[in-house]
Formats: sequence, C-alpha cells, structure tokens
Amino acid sequence: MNDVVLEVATLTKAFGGVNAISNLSFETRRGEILGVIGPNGSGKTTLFNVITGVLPASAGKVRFCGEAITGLSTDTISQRGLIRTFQSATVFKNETVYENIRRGSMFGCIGKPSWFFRPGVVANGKRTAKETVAELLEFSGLSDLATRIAGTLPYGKQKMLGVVIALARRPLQLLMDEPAAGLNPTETVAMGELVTQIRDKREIDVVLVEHDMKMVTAVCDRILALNYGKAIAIDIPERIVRHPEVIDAYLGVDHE
Amino acid sequence: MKFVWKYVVILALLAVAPFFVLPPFLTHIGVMIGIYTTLALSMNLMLRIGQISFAHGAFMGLGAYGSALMMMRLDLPFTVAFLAAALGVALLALLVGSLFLRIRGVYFVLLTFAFGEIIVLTFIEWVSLFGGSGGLPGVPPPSLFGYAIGSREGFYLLSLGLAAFAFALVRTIYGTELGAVITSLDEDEALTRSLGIDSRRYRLLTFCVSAFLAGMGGALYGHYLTLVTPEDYGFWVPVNLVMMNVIGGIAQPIGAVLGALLLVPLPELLRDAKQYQMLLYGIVLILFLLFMPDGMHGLFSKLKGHLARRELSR
Repeated sequence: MNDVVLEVATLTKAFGGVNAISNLSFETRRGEILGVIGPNGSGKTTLFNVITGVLPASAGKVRFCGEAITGLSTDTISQRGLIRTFQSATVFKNETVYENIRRGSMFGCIGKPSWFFRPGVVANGKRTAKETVAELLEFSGLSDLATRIAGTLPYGKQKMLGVVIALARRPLQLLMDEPAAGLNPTETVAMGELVTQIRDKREIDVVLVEHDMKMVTAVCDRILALNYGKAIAIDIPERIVRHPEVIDAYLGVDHE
Repeated sequence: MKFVWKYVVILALLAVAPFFVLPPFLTHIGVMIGIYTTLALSMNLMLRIGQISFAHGAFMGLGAYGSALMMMRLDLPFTVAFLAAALGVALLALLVGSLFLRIRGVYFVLLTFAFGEIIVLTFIEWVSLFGGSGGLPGVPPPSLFGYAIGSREGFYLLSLGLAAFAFALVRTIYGTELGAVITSLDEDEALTRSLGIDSRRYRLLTFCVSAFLAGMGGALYGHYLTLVTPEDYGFWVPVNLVMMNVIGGIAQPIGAVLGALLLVPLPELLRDAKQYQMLLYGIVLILFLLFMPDGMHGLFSKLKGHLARRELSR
C-alpha cells in the first residue's frame, strides 16, 4: 500500500438532505494522473472542496500520504503538499505574472505570522522563490509575459498562470479543477501537454476534474466516473468510455 | 537609501517649522494632523484586508482613557502609560478580533459598529472610572526623559514623531512579504489560503497592529486636549478615517497622510459654519468617489505619468 497517495474512504457530503457526495471511496497511486468525470452537479468540485478542507465532510475520511487530513484547515492541507487549482482563472489580477508565481513559492514558507521568526525563513524563501520563478517561467512558456499584469492576460494564459502558481508551491499532488474549461481547442491541447509534463518532468501526481473527454482520455492513466455523488466506475480510459453506465449518465447525454 | 533621505529631510523641515514659520494656530492644526495621520494609517491597514472597522473610534477612546487613567490613578510615567494603553487596545483587538474577523463585509462593519457603541456607552455609564459624559478632566501632560511636554510645540513634535513612526511601520509592512500576504488576502482569499496561508491569523495580526496604532493616536489625543470625553470616540471617528483614506487614496500609505492633511483643517477652519461641515464632507466624498476613486494620490500619479510622457514626446 506504499504507493497510495490520496485515499478517500466512504466520504459523504450532505447539503441539507441532499448528498452531493455519497459514500465515495477511491485512491490514487504514486505517479498517476487520475481523471474525474461526471455530468454537471455530480459532485466533482464539491469533492475537491471537501478534500482540501474548504467544506467540512459529513462523514468518511480522507488520507494523504498515509495521514488523515479530514477536518484540517485549507492552509494546513496545503502545507502538507496537496494543492488545488480553480475552475475559473484564479490569479492575483493586479500583480505581474512574475509576482504571482513568486507569491506561490513564497507563501509556503510563511503560512502563519509566527513563521517569520524562524531564522532564515524569509531570506531562504526569497532565494528559493527567485529560482522557482525562473524555472517555472521557462517550464510553462510564460517567460515573455513575466512583467505583464496578470489581469490583462488572455483568459487561457490566466488559467495557465493559475496552474503555475500552484506548481510554485511545490505540491506533492495537484488537484486540478477543470483546467480546460473556457479554453479554445489550441489552448486545451497545450493545457493537456502541461498536465502530462507536470507528472513526467516534475513528478507531481495529478487529479484532474475535466469535461473535455478528449483531454481526459489522452492524459489520464485511470478515470473515476461520478454520478449524483456516487462512483459509477474507476478504470483505464479505454474501458471507461465503453462502460454502459458511464455512457448512460454522461457520455450519451453530454457528448455532442 | 535615497528614499530614506527624502523622508528625513521632510521630517526635519516639519520638525523645525513651528519654531520659525508656523503661527500657534497652525501648530495646533499640525498636532491634529499628526494624530489623525496615525489613525488614518491604522484604518488603511484594515482597508488593505478589505474589512472596514467601525471599532476604531472605541480603540482610539480606550487608548485615550487608558493612558490618562494609568497616569492619573496609578501614577505611571507617561511612556509606560502610553505604551501600555496602546498594547492593551491591541490585546483587546486580539480577543474580539478572533470572533469578529470570521465575519465579512457589511456584517463585520455592523458588528464593529455595535462594539464601538458598547464601549462608548461604557465610557458614559461607568462614571466612577471614566467620569461619565463629562469625561475625564485634567489629563496630565506627557513627559519624556523627565521633561514635561506641556507646550504646543512639544506636542507638535510628539505628534509628528508618532505619525512618522506609523507611516514607517505601515510602509515597511506593505513593502515586505507580510504586505504581500495581506494584499493577497484581499485580492483573492481562496487562492491565498490554498497556497498555505492561515488567513485568520494574518487578518488578526493586521487587526491588532491597526488597533495598536489607533490606541497610540487616541492616547496622544487625550493628553493633548487634557480632557477625554466619550463623544470624541463615537461613530464619526471611523467615518472620518475612511474618508481620509478615500480622499487621499487607499492604495498607498501616503494617501492616508494626504487625506488627514486635507480633512483635519476643515472643521477647524469651518468653526463658524459647523452646520455646513457635514454637508461639505458629503459633497467632497461624493465627488471623490465618482470622479477620483483613486484619491489625491491617484491623481498625482496620473499627473506625474502625464508629465513624464510629455517630457518624453518632446
């Protein structure tokens, strides 16, 4: 069981009487890109919100690298190395691209005000941040835009930057919430390549919530299909796309 | 270092002004500007985290009553009473902040407003300690290193020193990683938290530092007027402080200074037309919000940019 990274066990999230997530169990393995698909309202974003502590779980457990993280705050979970990206382009809009990535790197070192008193924290953090920004600008191809104000970038670049900020935090695992939503076909392909490279070159595990089936089947090792907060199937892409229940719930209805 | 020298020169010029050029009345306005600059900077910190605090009148009042009472009742020296009062206010902010700061937006404003009213009511009703609506008369003058500072010029220097300290503190905060965190919290809290920032503690720290400055400003205000009365610390204090920031420009600490510089003299100059004062305030505020949302500082920056471009195009 050493290669299990994220473990979700009988997780339930209820809003009033409705279960957005219902008795859900799955796990991700080291080096894996796991896709999560499902129709709108099937509980994908709720799942991320519960895993990252934005919403409290109603029942069940989440373990990360063998340790329970249920009930911990978002920032504590982030400090453990589990970082998310957001469905909409989420960047510091008034800051430069450079500053956005720098904050991503720096904020890990100063999670609480008292950490400023740890010797060398700020100096070391700044040095690391400088290296990280340079490396990630190169990695993501955003170098030419480094001095641009993030809010003035085209939407696709902003979403790309959102992912890069999270990478600057040096996650062990990245939870990506619909990185291709709102992107044009070219940008979607580029985003797919970025996701693959995040795993291959940076050795970061990825959980990918996505609607774009072409991208999901292309980059994911396994896919978890959700409907009404329940797992219908978890399998390799080739089998998921032929799974009768998945076709019924999702592909059949949503596929143009 | 260049920027430090600029401020040292400005500060030195301001410091000697009352002894050479300023008439007593303007020296008095200078004292008030210094105190209100400190308070406006304290509010600027709250605006930076996107939470307008209406508790700042109470914080100012607690600083004033606290410092005065500690000198009068406990015979503590000024420096001790002054700092203890401000620290006490910061401590109170720590306590109430850990509850209040969970709440955002207009609810936070209402909550802090109610808190402020409760404190002012306490000043009025607890007669044996705070002296009731008549207030505390005969607040002793400050003394530093054994010298009593009773003169207007002495207060002017103290007030200038306090404002300079507040300005340096706020500027330093904004210029460091702490400032980046605080700004990020207002820009996008969800993103900031997901990057590992404990937003509650940072908001609490900001609230405490802000309350500390408000407490110091209030303490000096009480010693200067030699009379501490409850009505000075009500609802209008935070309103004025927010106005100073809006008119000066909330994006930079210098905006708070500009706002205090412009708004503090108004009531003093309009003493004979007090009924028009609020009307004028209202009109000025509406004009700024509509046409100069970045305040005077924003206007200066634009003018500077405009001039620079003209210079280039020549």
